[in-house]
Amino acid sequence: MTDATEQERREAEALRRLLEDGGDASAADGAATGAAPGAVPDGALEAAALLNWATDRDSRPAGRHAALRAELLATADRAPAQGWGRWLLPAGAFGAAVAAVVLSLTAGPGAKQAPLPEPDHALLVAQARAIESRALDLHAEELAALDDAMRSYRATVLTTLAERYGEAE
Amino acid sequence: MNARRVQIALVGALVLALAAGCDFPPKADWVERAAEAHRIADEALARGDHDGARDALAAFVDAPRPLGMQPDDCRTVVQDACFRLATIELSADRARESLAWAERGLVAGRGDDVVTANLLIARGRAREALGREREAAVDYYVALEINEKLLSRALGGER
Repeated sequence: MTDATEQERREAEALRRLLEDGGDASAADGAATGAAPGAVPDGALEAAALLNWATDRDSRPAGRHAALRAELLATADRAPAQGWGRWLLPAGAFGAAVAAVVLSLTAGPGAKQAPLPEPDHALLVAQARAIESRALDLHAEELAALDDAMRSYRATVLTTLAERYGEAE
Repeated sequence: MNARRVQIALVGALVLALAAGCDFPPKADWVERAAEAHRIADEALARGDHDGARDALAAFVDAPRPLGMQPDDCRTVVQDACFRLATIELSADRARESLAWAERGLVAGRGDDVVTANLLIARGRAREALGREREAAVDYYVALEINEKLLSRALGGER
């Protein structure tokens, strides 16, 4: 094995100082270390930074961790407060509550569909006459007759519905 | 107080406001109110009080409707009240008001039944009174189609 050249020794010294000083570029330019400028080989800065980050994390100042943590928490607190996105959760909860109330009110035995009573002949004939008499007189008696014919049918329908929903409730 | 607490308080207030502000009547009570409105209207018309009849029925139509009722059942009750209102207004020479009630009833929906046909007849009358004969003819035509279906069903049931 041959002895190292002067150039190789300068590069090794520069790398050693880089690793000791945490990858600081000012240490690598030789001004503070006494190493000659340009002594650091290509890629040495990146390699030193990676090595320091991977092997020396625990020795970093605790104050810097605390500062980073505080900054992250402050960012996390500010982020949801911007824009309408912060209302999505309460709005969704409110919508779900309304849907639940509506579903609970619409479900149940009252939701069964049953046909209403059929109209009798007299009502249908009165209806047909009301249509046919239209051109004779705008206030034709047939319209009043239709209204009269509706009374018994209306009473039947309303009684049917009151019984249907009264039983369901 | 942080933003989360404000949001929770707002949601709670909205739910309470919804519960307090929406006074949905029970279904059977609402149907009985319809019968009562028609009874009051009958009495008012018997003594020639068109306004009294209209007010009783209009108050019923304007009142909140129950949730959970079958749509056709609800439509039938509302359309019948609107038909009567349209007829009352027409008999008092208020064609525009009659047309408005007929339109309002038809907005509630349509069916091949007596109440929809009645409303179409009432709207046709109101349109005719307002000089809109062509539109009135369409209403009568559709009402006649429904009436024929109902008659056919009724006669078919007897055979």
